[in-house]
Amino acid sequence: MNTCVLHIRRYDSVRSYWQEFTVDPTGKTVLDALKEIRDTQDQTLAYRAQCRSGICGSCAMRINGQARLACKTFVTDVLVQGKLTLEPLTGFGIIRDLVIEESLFWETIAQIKPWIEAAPAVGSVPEWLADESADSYGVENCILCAACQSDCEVHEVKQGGYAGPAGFVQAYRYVRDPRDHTTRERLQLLESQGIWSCTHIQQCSDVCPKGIRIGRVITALRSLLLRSGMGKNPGGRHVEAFTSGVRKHGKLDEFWTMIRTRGMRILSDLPVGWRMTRRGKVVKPVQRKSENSNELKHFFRDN
Amino acid sequence: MKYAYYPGCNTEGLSRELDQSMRAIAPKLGIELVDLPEFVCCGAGQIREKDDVAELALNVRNLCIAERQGLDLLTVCATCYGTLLHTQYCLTHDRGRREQVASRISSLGYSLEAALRTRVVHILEVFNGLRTEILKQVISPESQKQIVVAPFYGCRLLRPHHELTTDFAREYMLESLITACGFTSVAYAGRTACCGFDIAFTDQPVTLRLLEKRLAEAAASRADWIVTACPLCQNVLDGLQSKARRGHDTHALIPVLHLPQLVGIVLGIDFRALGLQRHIVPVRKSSA
Ligand code: SF4
Ligand code: FES
Repeated sequence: MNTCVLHIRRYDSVRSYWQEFTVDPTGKTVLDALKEIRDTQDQTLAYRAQCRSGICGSCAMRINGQARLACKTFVTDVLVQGKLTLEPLTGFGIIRDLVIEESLFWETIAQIKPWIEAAPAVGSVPEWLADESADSYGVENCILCAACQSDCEVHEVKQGGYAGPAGFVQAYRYVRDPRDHTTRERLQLLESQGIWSCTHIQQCSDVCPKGIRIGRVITALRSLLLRSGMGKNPGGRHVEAFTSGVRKHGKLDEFWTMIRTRGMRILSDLPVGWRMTRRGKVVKPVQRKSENSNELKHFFRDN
Repeated sequence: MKYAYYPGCNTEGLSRELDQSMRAIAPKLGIELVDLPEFVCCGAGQIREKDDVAELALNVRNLCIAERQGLDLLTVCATCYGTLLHTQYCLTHDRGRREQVASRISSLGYSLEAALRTRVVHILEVFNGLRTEILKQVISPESQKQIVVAPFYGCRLLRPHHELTTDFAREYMLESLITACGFTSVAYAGRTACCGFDIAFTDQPVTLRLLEKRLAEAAASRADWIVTACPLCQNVLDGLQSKARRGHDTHALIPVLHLPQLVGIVLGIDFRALGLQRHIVPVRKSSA
């Protein structure tokens, strides 16, 4: 018999430990293997699963250190030297073995109001904001499995107030929906949900089992914020200052981009700034220029 | 080997030592760098948030400028690299964007086909191809073996994987290069993780927490130095290190080197010629 070893992280509300199980991986998904272990080796092994076909989103777990759906992952595709590690998703509490405490995740999702508000609009929504033809990047396929949320490093270290990749995906879905009349309110809400704190790690895009282009969703949301006159904060100011320097001269204007972004916060940067100056690392207020940069104005949209 | 050399804005400004060290080692490795003053900023994923078509257009222009010279475009920066490849990905896969970009710039003489013909190369690939050449020139292999170097790839070199063409981390390219240079490379958790640069000015507490994690991981692996393939990672790992490690032993600060500096050291190039005196966490001359 062909065999492999599954190292499973167990937790029984007292102890947390690794346990090894041997199974035949032939033709099996990780979920099949888990079921076989529970049926034939250890009835106490706990994991979540419903649909077994990548639809319900309940079986996400960390497989070899990366969030994946157990029902969509073949054991033989991820085995490393005959071994595999299975852990619960990170960033959440654990109830038992591979079962995570999900309530925090659902609370975060609820914050962004994932439902249609069809009440008559107060003001009219401009055409470009309700542009149905704009790329959806696949957000309608989200199964709320929390894989992206679990592997997001910002979500992990930011203490609250962060919708995270899964939240942004939901937000974009309703922002784009022509039946919804609260587009502006939704965008406004995102500013208090950490939309400017994403650092573009793009781990979310890589782990999403539905191939949703989450990084581009976040970019699209920030663009909509700026076009709607929002983003009056360091994040938005940084994009504006960065862009205007390049538009004029073809090169980043480090000096003014920094000043305009930081505003008064620049004072708290002084100790670091002083250390840098002593080492000759100074951002100079001289603008470098590319040849023929005058043609660049045609590259940009007018508003 | 002749390349259209694309230093990038950060390398021409804050990280001048990266440009300096690249120019210092290039002749020793038989690399010819052709400067093209028409090159513009890649947009770094920032301009994309204001106007995504504009960012693509800027890079189509960059790629076309290299194409006119018949040269591959060589970058020292993981962020420029990722942005240029993002452009080529969109031109290939996204018909809507392709048309929008063309409508803004084709009358100016730039073609999308030409932009797709240019190969974008990061120095990590080039140095890897030159491993045997570097190995031959290593000056003091014994003392170098004592120095433990932690590899730091940078997000833009690795993700999103569908937009990229080379899997640098899975091929252990940085580790192989560190070893080829005669140093000892360490395996540690942070190698493919995030430095937090993008929000260093907008949500610095988060950046500091990310940095703290990265530096603790590197310290736990007993790294003497960190080497990175991206100047932006270097900026914060070096510049904000003492802020992120406040309360920790300051003797334990870890110098963060740019890739060409690491190679330059083993080729015996002068400390100042590599700009090593410009680091905030000092690189000790005796060890370099
Ligand atoms: S965006 Fe993808 S990874 Fe995130 S919750 Fe939805 S389906 Fe899961
Ligand atoms: S069991 Fe439903 S997605 Fe895996």
